[in-house]
Amino acid sequence: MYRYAAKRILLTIPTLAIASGLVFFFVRLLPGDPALLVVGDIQDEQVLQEVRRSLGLDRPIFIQYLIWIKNILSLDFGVSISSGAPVFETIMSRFGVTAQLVLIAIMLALVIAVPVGLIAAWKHNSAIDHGVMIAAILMLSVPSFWVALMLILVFGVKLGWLPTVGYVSPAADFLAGLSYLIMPVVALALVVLGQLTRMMRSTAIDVLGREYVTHARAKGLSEARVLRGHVLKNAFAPTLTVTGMIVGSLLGGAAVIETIFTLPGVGRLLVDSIYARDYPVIQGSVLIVGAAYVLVNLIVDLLYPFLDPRVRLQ
Amino acid sequence: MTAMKKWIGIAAIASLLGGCSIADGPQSPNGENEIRVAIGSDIRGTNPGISRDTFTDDVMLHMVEGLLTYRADLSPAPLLADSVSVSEDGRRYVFRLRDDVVFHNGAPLDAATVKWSWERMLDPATNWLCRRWYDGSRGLNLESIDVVDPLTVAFNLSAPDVTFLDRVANIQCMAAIIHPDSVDDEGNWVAPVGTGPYKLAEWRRGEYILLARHDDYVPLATPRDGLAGARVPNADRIRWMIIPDPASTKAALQSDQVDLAYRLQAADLAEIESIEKIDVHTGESLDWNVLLIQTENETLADVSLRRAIAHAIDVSVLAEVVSSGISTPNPSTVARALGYHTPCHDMGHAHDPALARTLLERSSYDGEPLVLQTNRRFSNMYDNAVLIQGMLAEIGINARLEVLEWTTQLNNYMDGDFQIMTFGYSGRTDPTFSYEAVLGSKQANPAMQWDSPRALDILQRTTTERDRQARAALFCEIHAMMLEDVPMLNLFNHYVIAASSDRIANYRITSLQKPRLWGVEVIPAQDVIAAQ
Repeated sequence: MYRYAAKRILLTIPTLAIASGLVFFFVRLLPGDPALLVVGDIQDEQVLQEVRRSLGLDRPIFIQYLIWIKNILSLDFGVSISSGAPVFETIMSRFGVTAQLVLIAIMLALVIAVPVGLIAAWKHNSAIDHGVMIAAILMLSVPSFWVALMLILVFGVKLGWLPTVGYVSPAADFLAGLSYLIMPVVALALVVLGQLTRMMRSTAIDVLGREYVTHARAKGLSEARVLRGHVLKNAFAPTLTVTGMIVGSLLGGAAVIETIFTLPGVGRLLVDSIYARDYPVIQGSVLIVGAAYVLVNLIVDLLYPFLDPRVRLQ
Repeated sequence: MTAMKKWIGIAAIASLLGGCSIADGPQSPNGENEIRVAIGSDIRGTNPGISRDTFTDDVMLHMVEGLLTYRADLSPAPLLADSVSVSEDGRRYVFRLRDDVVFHNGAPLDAATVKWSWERMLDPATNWLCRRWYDGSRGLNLESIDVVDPLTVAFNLSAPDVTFLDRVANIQCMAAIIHPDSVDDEGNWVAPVGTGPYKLAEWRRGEYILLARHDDYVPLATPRDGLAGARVPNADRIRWMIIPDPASTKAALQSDQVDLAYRLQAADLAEIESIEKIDVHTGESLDWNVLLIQTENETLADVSLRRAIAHAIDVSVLAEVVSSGISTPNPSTVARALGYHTPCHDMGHAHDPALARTLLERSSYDGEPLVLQTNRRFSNMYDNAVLIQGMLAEIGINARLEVLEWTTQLNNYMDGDFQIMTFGYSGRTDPTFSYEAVLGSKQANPAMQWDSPRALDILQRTTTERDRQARAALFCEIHAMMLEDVPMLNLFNHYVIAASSDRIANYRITSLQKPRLWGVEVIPAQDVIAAQ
């Protein structure tokens, strides 16, 4: 297993190198000039050139790439064009917020999706199954931003129970921090919940039809023991894989929720940076989110054999 | 026992969630003398005039001050200066400084600091965005700055330029007088140590910027007038909350989590007006909406076609629809709020579809599609484009919308890479600056919209003409020439919409579209409840 993990981590390096190169060059293909946004209303071609020079944008693009790679190797991600703040610190401070949001939402979704999906599969083609399926499809179909706005309208505006904007770190003030996270977590979890419930249900249906389940039932085990001991672990393994992929994608893709609830997350940072053509932040964010994606999926792969002993990591 | 523990746990969590007022978090209005303002994006920095945008200027305006600022009528007024005198030849400006001004670090303002501050801005290493306004490359040449006595400083120009005072007061350039403690020994920026009524307390990137009252601030004795007059910091703190989404901004207003939102969209006006406890403030700003026409384009080089476009557009409909009735048409580059907007600037191209069709027939236009560039980030530009497309179709011009991402459109604007484009300019406080934004050689700068050496010559004269009436006549002349050439169509001045909650009093908008939070009072919570 250790060799497998080491091999996977080593494979991450060329993956991220290729990804960084692609991002570096593709971002620069986008029309738009960050210097223009710095200069703003002050229309002066010479000032524009000076700003480009001060940002290093006047150099050949390949030289810019080499400088960036050289700096990255010494963990220097540069400074933001927009704010002048160090890129690495900026991303890491935002990454913590996104990680909190995504992990709590995923945990919440898993806690609900796994038993519900299992029960739906167990009661396959019953009213419960149909009800769960309809609810899951509904959750998948409704965009997260709409859910977010409805939550704000009901719990923020009408009832006044929860804050609609701002963020407080739970580490600084747990209860206040929690209050700022409830609505974004619920909005995000609802969409994920639909995906995970469907996944859990379909794999559980498959497992329930296997011979070893029939055998367990024939031995006289109770339905609860059959479900808990034989179906749950085997059906959960594919759901875990999907969960890993969802976590990875949400680490950079929760921008809509972060924007609506004004959470200072990495998704919002990435979108803002794209609008501002803030090249160092875009490149740094993609690199760090990409690394997190690979890491999450590696952890999932390493956990897999514990759920399904037939799988051996090589 | 285990079940009992579980239920006790659930009850504890429920009582915690239910018992505490969760919405009243650390940004609670209750009992705090704090104004919370919604802004659409984070500030770009705290170094005035270096890395800036509109929101950065809005925040910085409360922390740093220049020698001059603007009155409500947009004339320059003393701020850190007590008085200004100009020499007979118009080349030497002498500023007498106020003797009651102290920086945020307690140091008094003096002429030497003013000189240091200006020389730092004019140093190419500082990268001040407006340095070239003073180095002679664009006309005005600031030769030297003299310390006359501890409270008197003189600026010497190589030639007279009547726009000098206006430039010193300019908001975008923000010629702020800062204390040397703002930079480190190597001249690197640390933090603003200014003279403004508020000072920087905390900047949490992506979340908020918190300003605290400058306790030693001495407001001017004159009443608040535009950005001039008394700047009384009534609130203890101002929290600028970064809320990028307009829907979230409205929700925050409704749920009392912000006290002020400005730069709101006209499309939201009716909804905002319907919210109880919210005062809505509307007016016209200096910013102006335009339709740019690329005269270098083969098709649009034909002036008959450009005139046909001008007569096809019903600007009164555009202004009414796009601004929800706040703005009125303005065919001139000179904003309505400026004193130089004399009746000659009301002359424009009348909406006359019949005339437009006649002009179109006379032109070389053969029905080919004209690409009309716009974007969705600024709803006014998009709405203008949609309406203009329909109006052009009425006379037989086939305009195709090309909706671009804003940065892409801005790039095309700078490169002159478009046929027609809906666009908007930030307000300028003097017509010379407004015309400078559009008038010039396209070869030297493709972002220039009107390449007319004759008009440019007249514009140069406006910088030296000291008689106000004669200067106004020059602007009328330029406007008449622009109507003749139709290099672009001025449509209407942009609207200002701000909404303030009943927690604050005395908020007023300005045509500069800048929020002024000095003079604004926070009403104690019990009084707000009593009023409800």
